Amino acid sequence: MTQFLRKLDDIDDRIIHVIIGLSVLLPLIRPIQLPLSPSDMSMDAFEAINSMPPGSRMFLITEVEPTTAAELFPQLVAVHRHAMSKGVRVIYACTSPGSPPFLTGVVNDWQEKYSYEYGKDVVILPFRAGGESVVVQIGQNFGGLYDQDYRGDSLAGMEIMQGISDIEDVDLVVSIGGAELYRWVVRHIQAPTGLPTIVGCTAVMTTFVVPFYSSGQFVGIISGLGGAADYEYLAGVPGAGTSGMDAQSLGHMVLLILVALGNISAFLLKRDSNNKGN
Amino acid sequence: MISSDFGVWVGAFFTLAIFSYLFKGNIVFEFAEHTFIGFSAAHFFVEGYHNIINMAVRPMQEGQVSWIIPIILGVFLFARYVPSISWLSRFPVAIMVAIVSAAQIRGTLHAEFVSQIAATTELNILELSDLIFLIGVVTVATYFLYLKRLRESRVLSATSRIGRYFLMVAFGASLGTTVMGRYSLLIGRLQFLFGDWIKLIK
Amino acid sequence: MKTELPVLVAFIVGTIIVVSYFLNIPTLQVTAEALINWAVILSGFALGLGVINLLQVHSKNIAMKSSKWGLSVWLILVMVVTFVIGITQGTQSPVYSFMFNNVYTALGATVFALHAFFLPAAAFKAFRITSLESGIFLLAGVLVMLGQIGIGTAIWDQFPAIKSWIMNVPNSSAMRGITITAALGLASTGLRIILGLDRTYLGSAE
Repeated sequence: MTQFLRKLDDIDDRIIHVIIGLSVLLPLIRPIQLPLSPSDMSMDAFEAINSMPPGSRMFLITEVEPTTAAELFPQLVAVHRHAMSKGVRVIYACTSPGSPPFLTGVVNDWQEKYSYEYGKDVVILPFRAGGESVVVQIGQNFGGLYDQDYRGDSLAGMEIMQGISDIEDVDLVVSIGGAELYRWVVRHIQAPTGLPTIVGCTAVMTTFVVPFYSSGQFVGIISGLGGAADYEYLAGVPGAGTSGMDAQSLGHMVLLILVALGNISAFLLKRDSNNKGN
Repeated sequence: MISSDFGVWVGAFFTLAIFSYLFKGNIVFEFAEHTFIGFSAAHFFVEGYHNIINMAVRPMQEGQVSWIIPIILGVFLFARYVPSISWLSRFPVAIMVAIVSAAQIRGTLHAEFVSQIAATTELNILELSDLIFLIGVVTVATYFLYLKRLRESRVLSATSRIGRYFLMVAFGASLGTTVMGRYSLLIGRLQFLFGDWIKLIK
Repeated sequence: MKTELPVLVAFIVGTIIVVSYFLNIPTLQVTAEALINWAVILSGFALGLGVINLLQVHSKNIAMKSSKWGLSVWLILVMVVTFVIGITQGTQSPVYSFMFNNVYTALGATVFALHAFFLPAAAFKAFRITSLESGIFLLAGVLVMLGQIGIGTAIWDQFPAIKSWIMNVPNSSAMRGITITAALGLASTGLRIILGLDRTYLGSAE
């Protein structure tokens, strides 16, 4: 037994890699459709957008990029589809150089299905460098920061931008980002304006965002791929989020088994060495 | 069964090249790694370039000459590579740092200090969850604010120990969400390899 | 002079930004807004610094024919090609989009996907209960994990509620404690920078 435990303790990492890879891959190939139970945070986020009347305007700022796209892009798609199906207009902006292709991707990919019009129902603002400075300026002088869209067309002539000179002229703010974006948004947009704000974040960041949800500063949170799956479930349109949740389940279970095995083996080995010492 | 899209094959090659590191470090992985660094640096540069053109050069061409100032200051940033004039790069750095610091002072105090304390004062301590919440906020704040004095006071020491337990719960919750985050990235790549490239996933 | 002048600039700029938030003086507002736009433009320039640094390091590798200098040649080639296409044809052009979608996206996503393999391997070897603290840490982690996956719900339908309580009560309270204290730290650091007491950001260039 001790010999087996020692071998287990010194197991080659590559064996664990193979087990992890298979545990995630198999449910993707053969889904088992485990139950989904949307969290309160996701339901509140969904409800905030669902209750917006057609024609109202949402400002969605993002920093989705290749490194975070697996979690944030499904969120972006879910929110975009929901907004377009409800007739809610969306003004997109980004603070990361990696984001523009994702924004053009989401807007172009769903245009045929929801038959929305660029410039009337949706617009993409150009990338602006500076991170927090950009969000400060959005909160303070929106018109001074953006006068053209990402293609170089003037915003003044676009129907969606009529009557918007200030961030306070939009009805809802959505922030979808991986790191500090939610902090910049709460500091420079939500706090000074009091606008209802939803945050989509990577799962890793969720624990940091929750205090702002508890305090009512954020009306909802979409957390990682699970949050995207919740949103898709609530909207009744399964997508990339939902399809990954079975794989999440099996992957999690393998990790939990590994942690349990590691602890049992450490406990038994320690007891064994104590017995020998006595 | 397998994609005929050249772009998907290129993506699959680079995906497998990075995954090959799981077996052991190798030249194909390093090739992919250098490609990533090269592309991302140039992409950032390109986006920065368009940013400058749109925000400063275009308005200047339209007659707003004052935009020459940030352009000159921007060029100063590169003075750091010329030792004799490297001090010039301190001006744009000073401006950027000062703006972010000032914005943080005003934004942080409002959104993260006052609003968070205000929300804490609204807790109903007759409810168990709210009482636990209040104890958590106070003990964790004590733990960080009086870190240096913990050994001097028995009360602070006991309070901060409770704070540490709350922190452990928060870090444990972070572990749980981190696991989901990391798996999401793997799922995304496997969906690409076995969905877009080898069409095994429907 | 080489230090004092930039510190003075930081003081003036920082003061304008802070004061403009509290006092509604039009001239001050306009100046603050212009200054923030300057910061956005300067950040655009700063994005180029990475390229210069990489060029320095890898040209040196090539010049000295150090090990794997061929990779340095490749990196510079990728950088130059990306740059030229991005500037001349734009980031929306088909060639640039091809590189972004099939090269950059694949690489960026996969590099971070490696963590999904390393984390369980580390969890197996390092997440051991050795104290009350580590026990609380693991218990909270396990409960959150079970509450966020379908298998957890299938085992016991109360796991999502437990996860929700952990996230919204003990986790949120601890993170609020951190947020409040960190806000004080951030504000005081910002003040030190504006007042010129903290000059570390200026570096040691002479």
